[in-house]
Amino acid sequence: MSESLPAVLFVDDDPDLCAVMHDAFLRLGARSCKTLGSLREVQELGGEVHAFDLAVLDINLGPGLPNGVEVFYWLEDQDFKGRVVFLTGHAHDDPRVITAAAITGTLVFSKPVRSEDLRRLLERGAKT
Amino acid sequence: MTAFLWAGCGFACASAIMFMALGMSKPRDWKYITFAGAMFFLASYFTLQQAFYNSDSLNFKIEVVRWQVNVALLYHGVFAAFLCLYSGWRPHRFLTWGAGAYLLILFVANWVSPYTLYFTAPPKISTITPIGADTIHLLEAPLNGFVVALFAFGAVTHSWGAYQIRRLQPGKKLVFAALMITLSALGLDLVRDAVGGNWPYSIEFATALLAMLMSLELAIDFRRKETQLARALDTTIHIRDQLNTPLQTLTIGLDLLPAETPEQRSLISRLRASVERLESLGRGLHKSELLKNQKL
Repeated sequence: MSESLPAVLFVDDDPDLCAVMHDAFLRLGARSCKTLGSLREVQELGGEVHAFDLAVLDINLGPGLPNGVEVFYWLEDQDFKGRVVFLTGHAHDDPRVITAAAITGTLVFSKPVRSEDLRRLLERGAKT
Repeated sequence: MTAFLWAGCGFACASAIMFMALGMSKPRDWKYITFAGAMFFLASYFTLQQAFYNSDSLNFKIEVVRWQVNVALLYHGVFAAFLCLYSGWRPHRFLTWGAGAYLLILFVANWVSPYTLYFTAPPKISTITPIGADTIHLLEAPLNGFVVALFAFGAVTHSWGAYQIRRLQPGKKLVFAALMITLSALGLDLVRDAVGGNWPYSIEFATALLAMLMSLELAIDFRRKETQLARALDTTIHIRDQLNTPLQTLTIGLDLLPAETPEQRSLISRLRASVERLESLGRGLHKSELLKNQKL
């Protein structure tokens, strides 16, 4: 089972959430999980991003810093083949959320998501 | 004079309709309703004043004055209530009842006096043509003592209102100035009647100015409050959005906690209920958010 589930890249600027999500994804059977806090940290991964099957990106990565949509565009530039899911605590009329929702082939989840949602996400990620 | 009175009447009517619509929208705002009421009585007063100036029939003029006094009493009562609401000063209920009884006595005196509350003897008609205005017909007669009581009520209301506004809302300098001008006009008109002056009344000009400035102030206040409300809602939603990240940590963190003993299961269950309550509070704000998007 765990062999078929995806490797997850989780990007959020909140270290507590990163730590908890890391444990949660592994508990739910993800093959591996790496948590990062910003676009710069993702860029430092370089070609290693291709090791991941699923990228969960928080839209707001801190005031004045590149957001999750910019992380997505960087991943796209790197020809990232995995599934991308946006996570947001903002309302649906937030301009960044609107931009993320308009990107085809991605999903936008509103915080707080439950473990069941993450489980389904991993299963769907594994099927792609 | 006719043109001015028509213009004043039109402005007061428009102001009354606008502020009545604002005040009657739920939840009711008595500040706007009382102001609309005062504007309605002011429009009535302007209409009667025009009839008074234009008529040369003594009996008709006396009846017009009687109705003008009634309207003035209603205006003073409603305007006093408005000043309380506008300045934020809450009078003692005995004072409210006392003022109401005072106005009622004047109202009755106006009905039972043969020459209205204004005159003690049959008045005479005098005709004048003010510079740059059409010919008007005035009444001249010794003043009734009750009319001093009526002017005194207006003077006390306006001076006390000006004092309260200066004390509680020092930024409203224009309103304060307009109230002082109206107060001066009341005094000038009393002197005019006392000495048998042969010139038009000044109170209508001062009251029109006061109505115009108060309407402007209320409209600006309304806009300011709307902006403050939108900002407060934006801040609240921003805070709600910020809370969603720690809420996410708690939601997933609780799922990760081991629930091996009954005590642990009970504790986790309670914590989960609290987290769900926090979530429902956040969802409750969604309604406010929809209202904001509809521009309230």
